[in-house]
Amino acid sequence: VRPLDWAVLVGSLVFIVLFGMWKSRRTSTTKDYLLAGREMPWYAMALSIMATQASAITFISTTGQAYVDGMRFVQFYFGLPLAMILISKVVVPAFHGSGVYTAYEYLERRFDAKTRALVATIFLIQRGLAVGVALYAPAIVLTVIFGWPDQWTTLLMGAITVAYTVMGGVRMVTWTDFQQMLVMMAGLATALGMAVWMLPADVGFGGALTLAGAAGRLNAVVTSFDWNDRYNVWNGLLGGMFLALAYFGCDQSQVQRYLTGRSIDQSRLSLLFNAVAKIPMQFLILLTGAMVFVFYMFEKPPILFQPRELERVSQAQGFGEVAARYDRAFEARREAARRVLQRGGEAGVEADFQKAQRELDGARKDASALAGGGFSDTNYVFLTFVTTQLPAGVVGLIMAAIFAAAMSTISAEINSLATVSVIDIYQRFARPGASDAHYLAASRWLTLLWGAYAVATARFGRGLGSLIEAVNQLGSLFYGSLLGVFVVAFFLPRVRGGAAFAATLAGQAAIFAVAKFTNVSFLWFNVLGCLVVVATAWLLSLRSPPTPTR
Amino acid sequence: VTERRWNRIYAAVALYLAAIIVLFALFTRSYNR
Repeated sequence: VRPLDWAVLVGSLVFIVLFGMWKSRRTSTTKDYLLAGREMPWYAMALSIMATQASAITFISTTGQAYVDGMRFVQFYFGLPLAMILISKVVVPAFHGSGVYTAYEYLERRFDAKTRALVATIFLIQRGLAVGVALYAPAIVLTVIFGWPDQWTTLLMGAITVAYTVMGGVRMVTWTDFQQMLVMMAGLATALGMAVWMLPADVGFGGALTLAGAAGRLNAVVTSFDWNDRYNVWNGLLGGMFLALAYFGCDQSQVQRYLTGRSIDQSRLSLLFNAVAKIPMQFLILLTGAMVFVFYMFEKPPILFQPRELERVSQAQGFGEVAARYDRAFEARREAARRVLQRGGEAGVEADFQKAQRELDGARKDASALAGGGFSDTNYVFLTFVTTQLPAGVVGLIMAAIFAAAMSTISAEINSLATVSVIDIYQRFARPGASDAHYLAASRWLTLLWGAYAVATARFGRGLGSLIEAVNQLGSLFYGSLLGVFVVAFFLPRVRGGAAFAATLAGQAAIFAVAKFTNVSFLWFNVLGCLVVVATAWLLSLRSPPTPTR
Repeated sequence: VTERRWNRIYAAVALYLAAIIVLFALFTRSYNR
């Protein structure tokens, strides 16, 4: 990391926080602090929604994903626009019209206090499990690549984020998210531009597409169906839609972004902006990965990108043979790549290239197995490219983008955790009827508390290693029932509180059972959990009259 | 903006999604092996 990189990184961090402070200087009521006074314009919410969704790990690993596996990951986002349409049509007017602070507050108006408390608790558990990982995962990667002590990376990122979130609440979060998303976009555009620009002169962009395609890396649409594989067009459309419905429609960390809207129209616009912009953006990120893949056809990449694992494996027995095989496969692929570019149409030319690619992939797999597996090399591809190939300044920009991605996600998460703790639990059950100043102070304290909790789980989660990832995956088990209870709230007017409460528990039990006893991809848990909740609630309410609208 | 106008916007977004998928499918067909 060179001085210019430090200047870009520190400069962008300081500017973003100062800009947020200036924008959120008038925060004097709970409504200001938790809903930004309901006066946000659509473009601020739109970028805030996008920045909250893009975590540092998504940012780091998506490019690596294209390098290792191709572009089919983009299909994961195909369901998102459909979800955004449904949320704009049904959810936004309901939340806005009822003037709620949280999605779960709406459930009490529709059902009863116990359903609200149950679903708010599910959210607190699920988000609470994830927030430490959002901080810890990028810290680990930065540690390995730059050699920074991860305790310090976690603390630095965490402390800045918690400080500004406590200070300015949701207004601060939204405006910093806005800037952070701009930094991320600048970082991504620069990375793509550099990756294309650094290709050998005789390859060029068109040649790179030919080569990446010949290696099977441009599989943006896969039409074959497989239950256990989340990356085909069907799972992407249906599973992805359910996931996006749950995330954007029922998860307070996203709902709070568009609850701050000046009007229903502004909130809808912010969601539809994401519906339009998200897929092309993911496509470009993955394309960057494909370009990095082609770049490394002519410049030999390390057999493993994770430097610590590489060092460890290079002392393992049998590594010499694997490394020699890797070197031979690399040379063979480079020669074959040139031939593909010169006379691609001829018989056998592409087959030779693909054979060399398979051998190279095989050697990489063997090296990973020698290292004992258990780590994600994918996370290190992009950063290795950035730090070893890109010029000073650009490295700083990409680092700033990674910090921005982590901080924008964490700030929205602790902000929403505090909001639900105050509005759905503290104000509702522990201390109703206190003054606005009291709840404002409580919101600040709870933001600080959740922030401290995030830093603590990230710092001390180190020793837990892969356990923390398992816990994070556990968090994704709650979405189906969360979505289900909201679908019931909006579409089944006969269902009352008792049935909704029981159905939510039934949905949760069904998801746990499927996760424990089957191999089904986690993307389907949301569909299944939602269906179980809806079916149970419907069956339990067959005889009850419609709820009068309130 | 009226609700009818919004419905037209939603239809446009859905069409856009369909167009993107078709475009990506063509991209995959012409480059990926």
